[in-house]
Amino acid sequence: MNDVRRRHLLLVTCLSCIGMLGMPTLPANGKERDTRPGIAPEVVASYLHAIIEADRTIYSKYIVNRLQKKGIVSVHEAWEQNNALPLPAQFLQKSGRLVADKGTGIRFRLISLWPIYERNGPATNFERKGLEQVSQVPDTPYSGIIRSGKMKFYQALYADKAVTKACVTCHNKHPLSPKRDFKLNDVMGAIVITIPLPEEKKGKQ
Amino acid sequence: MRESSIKGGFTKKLILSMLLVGLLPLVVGLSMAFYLGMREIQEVNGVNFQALAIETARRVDLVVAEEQTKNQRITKNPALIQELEQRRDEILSLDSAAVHTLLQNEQSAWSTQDSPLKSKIIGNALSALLTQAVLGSNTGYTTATSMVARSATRCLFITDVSGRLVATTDPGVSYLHGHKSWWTGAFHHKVGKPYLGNLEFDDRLKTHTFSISLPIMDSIHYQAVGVLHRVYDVKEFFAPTIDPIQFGKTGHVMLIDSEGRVLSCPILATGVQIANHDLIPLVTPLDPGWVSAPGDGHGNLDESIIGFAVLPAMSRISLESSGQAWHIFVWKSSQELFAPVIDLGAWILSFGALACVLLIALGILVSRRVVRPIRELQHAATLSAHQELTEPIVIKTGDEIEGLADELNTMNAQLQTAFSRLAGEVETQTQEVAYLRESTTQILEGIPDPVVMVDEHLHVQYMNQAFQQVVDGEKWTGEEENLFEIISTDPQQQRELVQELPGFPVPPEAAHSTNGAKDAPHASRMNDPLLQHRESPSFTKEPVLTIKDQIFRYAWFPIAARAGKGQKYGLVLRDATDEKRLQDEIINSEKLTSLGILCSGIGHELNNPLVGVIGLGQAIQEENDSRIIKEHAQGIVQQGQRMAQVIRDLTGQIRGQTKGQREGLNLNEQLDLIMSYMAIQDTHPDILIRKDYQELLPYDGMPEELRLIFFHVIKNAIQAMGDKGQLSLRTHMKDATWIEVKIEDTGPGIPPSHQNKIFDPYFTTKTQGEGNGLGLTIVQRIVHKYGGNIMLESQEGHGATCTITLPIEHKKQTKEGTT
Repeated sequence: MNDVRRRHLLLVTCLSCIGMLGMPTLPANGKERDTRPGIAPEVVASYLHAIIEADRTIYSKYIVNRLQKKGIVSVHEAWEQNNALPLPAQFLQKSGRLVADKGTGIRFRLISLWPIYERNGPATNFERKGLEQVSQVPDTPYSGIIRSGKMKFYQALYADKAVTKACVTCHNKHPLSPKRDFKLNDVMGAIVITIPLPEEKKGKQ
Repeated sequence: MRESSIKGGFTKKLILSMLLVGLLPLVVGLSMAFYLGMREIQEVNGVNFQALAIETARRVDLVVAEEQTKNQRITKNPALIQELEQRRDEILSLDSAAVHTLLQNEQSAWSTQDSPLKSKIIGNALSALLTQAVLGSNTGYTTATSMVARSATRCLFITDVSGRLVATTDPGVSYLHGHKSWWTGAFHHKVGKPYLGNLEFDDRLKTHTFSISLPIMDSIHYQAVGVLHRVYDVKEFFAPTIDPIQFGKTGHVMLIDSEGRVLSCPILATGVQIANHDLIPLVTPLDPGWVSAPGDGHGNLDESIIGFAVLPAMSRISLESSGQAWHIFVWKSSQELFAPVIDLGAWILSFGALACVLLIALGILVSRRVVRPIRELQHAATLSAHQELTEPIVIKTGDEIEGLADELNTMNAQLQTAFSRLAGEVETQTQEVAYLRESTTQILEGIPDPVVMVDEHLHVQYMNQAFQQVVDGEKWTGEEENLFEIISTDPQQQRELVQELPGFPVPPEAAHSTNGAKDAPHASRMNDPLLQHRESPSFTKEPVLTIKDQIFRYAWFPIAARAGKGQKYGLVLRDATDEKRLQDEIINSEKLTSLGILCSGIGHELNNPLVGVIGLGQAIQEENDSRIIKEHAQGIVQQGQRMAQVIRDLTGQIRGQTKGQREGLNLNEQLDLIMSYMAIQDTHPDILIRKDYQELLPYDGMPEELRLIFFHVIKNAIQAMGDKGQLSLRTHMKDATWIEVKIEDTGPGIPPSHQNKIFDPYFTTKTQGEGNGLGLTIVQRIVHKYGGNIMLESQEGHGATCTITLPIEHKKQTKEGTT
């Protein structure tokens, strides 16, 4: 568990650094504008995705599987009550909430067109369209600029496949699952990464 | 009493044994059944209560979760989100001071009665949306849960990113909420997080409430742009779910928080703390379970079975929100819960009592069957013991008791035979005893010596005819009189008689009767050489008793006493009157003999000078020469002086004897004097005389008695040696108080068979005329009289040695020492 926490911390640190790199164009205090060249948000998003995916893979294959095989600790959906390890999907969601709590502005979460819990469904039409897109073309992320009022964000959706048999089995058997015919390597959903973008026009409030 | 208790003993024991054998396993079994039943009831109820608690927790959890979901739907209203995004953008466009001023102004405006702001907020579309959400009119149909939620809702309102009121169903709510815990919890730094407010008393609403606060996310679900806050009446919200769950008369479910405060209970009021604080940690763990707790939380401190479970999903939210979780508490009163156990206990007691009665009845029945023949046997045995069993015992039980009866019959027959034989034996023995008693009495009566038997108090038990004659039998009437009241003797003899009894305590009457002799203490007796010494072996035969001028030797002998009775003693007397007189005569005769010998010696001493005087006188008659005549005359004078010396010695001796006084004597001189009297060298020229005298202290004694001692011993030595031998006379001080005189001869010695008779009276080995056997007896008596000892040692063929030791009186010794 300490390893997991350390990894979370590492991830958060990386994300913070990358966030700072990716936001040279953001207003530092709302009045001045940093004119230094920055990294494109899609590149930042790809960095983040690589880290998130690597983290989850390591957690799934080298932590959960080993501990579970040795009978040291099990993986359970109600992991908090049962003193167990969270499922890999829960691991990712929990990581996303921790990152959000840090207040860096970067958010990521796991969504699906067939979520077990409604809260993990698409929140916007953009997300819905992106999910549909990555289901069709899994290797290409779906991204774009989205708005919330006057705020602008870069959002990218990366296809999330059923990489282990456990993922398929769990979703096909869960009583709340709306889809029960998943197969290995099917796209089950997407990792949504949201990066805030600076406002286009200074002082237009 | 004892017989009756013996009669009932076996019956009691039998019944007690049956009770023990029957009741012990019964009590153990029933107790085990009671204990196991108790545990089983606890286990079953506990598990059931736990299951009910889990089920209820899930149900309540679902109700709350459903309410949360419904509220969540409101937060996704696009118009609401758009409005809140706009307000966010407005706030973001202002600096913090401007925001602060704006909020203060609007707050003031809201507080004003009938302010346009209030009308604007209450009347806006969003408020209408909220009212519709509460009323549920927009759903088309209404569920029971919705109805409960609607009636339980006390207010529902929405705030923007600054915490100011945007829309509300209740115009009474305050305007700014950004500082409140539910708001900061739900807004969660723009990230947004559901917040479940714990039980609290709302002063404005005057009721206990809980709240659900949900973040309203922006259109892209990126950040929170507002908070929805809904307040419920706790009791109204949970009562429809909690209160209907009742089982039995008292069993019900209760919802409490982690601090033990009641959210909903059919019995306890909402908001109160459960009665037993110790119970709280037992029933509020995060894992479901059951516990046997010391109290039921409703005021009763009896042991209670309580099932508990935490609300699984909502508790996660509430723990992160307020640190409190909600717990289901399933309980049933102990009285009702353990009623089956109490019934079981009552049944067990009833069954035990019934079993006890049955066992006692059975015990009585069995014991009667068993005890009756035993009692018959007991009765027969008693008759047999008294020789009254004439008829054989008839018992037909077909078991060991019948065998025992047969054995008793056989034993009784043998006893009858043995008793008749024994009776004959006893009669024979009784006759034998009577014969022995008669013959003993005849023997004792036939004995010429007087015999008397006394008890330990000297009371006369029996006296024979001879004794009665001695004491004049008319005195003794057969009663137990004291011996000294029957025999008349002086106190000194009484005391000696008592002292002769070994280990016999002096009885008071005896002591009383010897009062006259009290003035003669033991010490003075010891100093008096004429008194007899008990320890002297030669005197043990000497004790005498004088009764009516008759002298008796006597001896005590113990008589075997009956068990438990006192010691008895026998006293046998022998008349020694004639013997004593004869002995005294012999002593006088011996004295005369000694005097004759003495006179003969004196005569011899006088005869020689007298012959010389006569011869010289005749010579003078025939002699003319005056010178020769003078010489002869001088010779005559010398011889006369010699004779005068002899006479002077003789008269001196006689004077001392007549005076009867003791005087300081030199024993060496006394020896020489007796030697000269005996003129041994004249009569026995071949006997060599050796003298070895050492200086002696003067001895205080009578010269005649001392010379008599030496005379008899020397005479015996001379007679033993015959004509030839050596006589040794030795004297010396043995120590400061004893003089020792040894007279040795070289005669044939004394044969061993004679050595223990030497001092007996009339014992002699000499021929008729040479001696009468009283010499050494007299010597011994005189020596003892002076408190001395005489010892005769001899080895046959090697002569004999007579050793005489005499004590010097202390008084005399002191006198000598001082002068």
